[in-house]
Amino acid sequence: MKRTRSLRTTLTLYAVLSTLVVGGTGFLSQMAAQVFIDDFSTIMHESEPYLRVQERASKLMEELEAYLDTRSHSSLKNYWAVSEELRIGLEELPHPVPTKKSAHLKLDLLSVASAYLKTTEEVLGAKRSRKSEVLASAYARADRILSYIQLLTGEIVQEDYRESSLQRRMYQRQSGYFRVSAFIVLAGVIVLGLLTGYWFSSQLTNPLETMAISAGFMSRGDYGYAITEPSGPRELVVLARAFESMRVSVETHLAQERKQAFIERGFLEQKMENLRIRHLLEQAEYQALQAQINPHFLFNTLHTGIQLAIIEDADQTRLYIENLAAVFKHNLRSLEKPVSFFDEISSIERYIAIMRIRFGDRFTFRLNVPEVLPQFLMPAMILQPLVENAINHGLRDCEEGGVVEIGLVGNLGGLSLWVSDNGVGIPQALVEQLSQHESLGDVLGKNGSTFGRKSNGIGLSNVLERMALFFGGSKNWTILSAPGKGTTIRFTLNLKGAFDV
Amino acid sequence: MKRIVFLVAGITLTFFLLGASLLWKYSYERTKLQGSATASSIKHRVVVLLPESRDHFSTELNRFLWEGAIDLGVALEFRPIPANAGPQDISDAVELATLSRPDGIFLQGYNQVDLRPLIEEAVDTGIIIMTLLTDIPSSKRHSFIGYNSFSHGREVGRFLISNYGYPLTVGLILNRFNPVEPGPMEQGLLAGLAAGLNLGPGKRQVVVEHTFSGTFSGEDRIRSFLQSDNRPQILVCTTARDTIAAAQSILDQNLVGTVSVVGLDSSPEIGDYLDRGIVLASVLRNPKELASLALDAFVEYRSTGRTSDYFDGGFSLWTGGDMP
Repeated sequence: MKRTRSLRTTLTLYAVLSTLVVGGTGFLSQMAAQVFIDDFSTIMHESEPYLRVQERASKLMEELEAYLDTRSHSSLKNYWAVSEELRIGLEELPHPVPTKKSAHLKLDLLSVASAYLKTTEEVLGAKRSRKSEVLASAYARADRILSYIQLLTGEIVQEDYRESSLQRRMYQRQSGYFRVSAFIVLAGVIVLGLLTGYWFSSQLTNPLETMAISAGFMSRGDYGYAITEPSGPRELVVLARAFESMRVSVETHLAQERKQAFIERGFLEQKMENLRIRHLLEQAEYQALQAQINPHFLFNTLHTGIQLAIIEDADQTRLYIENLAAVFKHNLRSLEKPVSFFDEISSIERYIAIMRIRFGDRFTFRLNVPEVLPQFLMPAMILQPLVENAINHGLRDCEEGGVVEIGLVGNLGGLSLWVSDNGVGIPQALVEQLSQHESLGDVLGKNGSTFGRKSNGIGLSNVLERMALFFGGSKNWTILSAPGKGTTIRFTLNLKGAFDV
Repeated sequence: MKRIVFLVAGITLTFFLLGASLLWKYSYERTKLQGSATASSIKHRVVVLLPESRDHFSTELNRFLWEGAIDLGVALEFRPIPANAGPQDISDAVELATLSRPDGIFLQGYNQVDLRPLIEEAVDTGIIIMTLLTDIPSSKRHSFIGYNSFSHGREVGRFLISNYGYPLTVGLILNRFNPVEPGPMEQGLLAGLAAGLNLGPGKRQVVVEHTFSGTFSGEDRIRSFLQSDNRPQILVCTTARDTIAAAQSILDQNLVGTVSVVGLDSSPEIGDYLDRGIVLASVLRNPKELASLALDAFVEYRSTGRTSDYFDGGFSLWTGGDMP
């Protein structure tokens, strides 16, 4: 698992790093400056105390000579004063560690100057004791030692100068390099400060910016903008994870809601369709009931009539009443249950037989169907209202030569069923109006009127819509009609699921 | 971004370290300028009074003394005595060294000045005196570190006899030679040479010549020696400077093949003359050994209060090849 730092640690780290870099640079510069300043200070003042020793030694010799010449108290006093001064001066001088030539020379000078003091005192003692040989020897020795002091002082100055020259040259060389180096370090620290500042602030702000963009999308309803896990401080990582988790959660929830809504809408549509079908059936049943009489009374009466016709040998009457009873029986069955095409055709044939007795030769009925009827289910009470319409309205004014035809062509993949007549037809405007509407309710009205005419049975609209609903839900019929040229109503039947007879 | 930050940080750190290293280098060089030895390691202080010379042997001797002293905690103060220093100058140098109150003085004996009183005075004040290369006999010096001049002369004599046979005329060039009172080194060298040549009447001749101090006088003396009636076949030189001067004189006077040189010490010039056959051989003293012996003897005396009276640094005969 990727390790992250806390926001506080990150900020502290940045502060510490910056302080260390800047502080380190400052410390280095300060140290370098101090070293160079110390060195220069030492170079400038190193020889001064030794030059003073030489001056005092020379002064001492002068005072000694003055005393030797005059033997005056004042000169002796002066001698002791200078002698004391020289002694104190020597005591105050540091004893350098002999690591370089100048240090050796300074140590030499200290020893030689001490010997000089001692020798001058010997001179003084010899003068007082009036030992002229000792005095001469000591004086000569003091004089030599003074020359040694002068020699050593000269060498010290010379050596200090030589060493300081070397040091100065070294300083100049090193300080040049150091200046360049310090400048580059300074520039680097500035650039580094800017870069690290930008880097650290990016680490802090980038995750927030990403979350802000994602939040913007979410506010517009788009929950698909995923944010990657940032590499910044721990708190921001936790925040980003929580934000992303929330986004995913909301997105999932919404997807489930959408799916649920889609399913519910499907249910509602199905429910609406069922309601419409039920409404149509109820309407058809209501219309059928209007035309019904008490079925028990009717069938008993009709059977009585049949028996009477048999007793009287009136076969045509018996046949008429039998057909009428069969048609009533077919029509009184529940409209909710589909019927086979065979039953529907059988009922139509009995109905035509009745109509033929009523209308005689005014029309001819043609059944243009295959010899072996295809086995499929269809809504009940479809063909009879259409045939009834054709006879009662299409052939209304026809005295003779009228034709009513029921046809069926096609195969089990798709059938074409039609009912036609050669009667008065329907006005063209009304045909076009019918063909352009999916639902016929607006055109035909709810009272079952057909083509502006009153029907005593089930309305054309009810028939057409039940056929459409039963065979797939969409419009599956066409009406071809022209005034004086008859009417053909054709159904295209999608037989999926219509074969369970 | 991260890569750029690291790059800049790396560059900055590099130059930061460069700056720090420059400062350290400065401090180091400053310390070096002040002397290699640290304060805590210095235990003794010694003044070195040797003749000022830029020949290879002297340079090497000083270098080995310096390096050896660091290891032993001895701070050396070189106060070279100029080549043209007179007796008073030499005395003053020794007196000044004594007045400086060091722990020890390394000095070389001089024929022209008697340093024994000064040595006595120095020893009386507790200073350890070591003589190098040339001894000061009968003085209070604590030890002499050099080589056996008798052996030196004898080896040279044997070398000449084995290469030339008899009869042979040999000229000896001595530096600062005092014919009235020859120094111990000269005496030993002469005696050794005589022993090596197996001198006898009528067989061999050894002419002793000497040069004086100074830059050119030695060469003048050698040139006139070569032009004299008793011109030797072999010139035996006892300093590197005389060796080079003799070889150059032979070359100048077109005497190559007629006169040859047996010299002292090594240098690129002597090596060149060796290659050209003008210098037959050169006696090599061992500066490292001499420096080591001198310092060890001093430290031993400082530690125990006694040391050997004489240390022999030895020598070898260089007859050609790479310069040792």
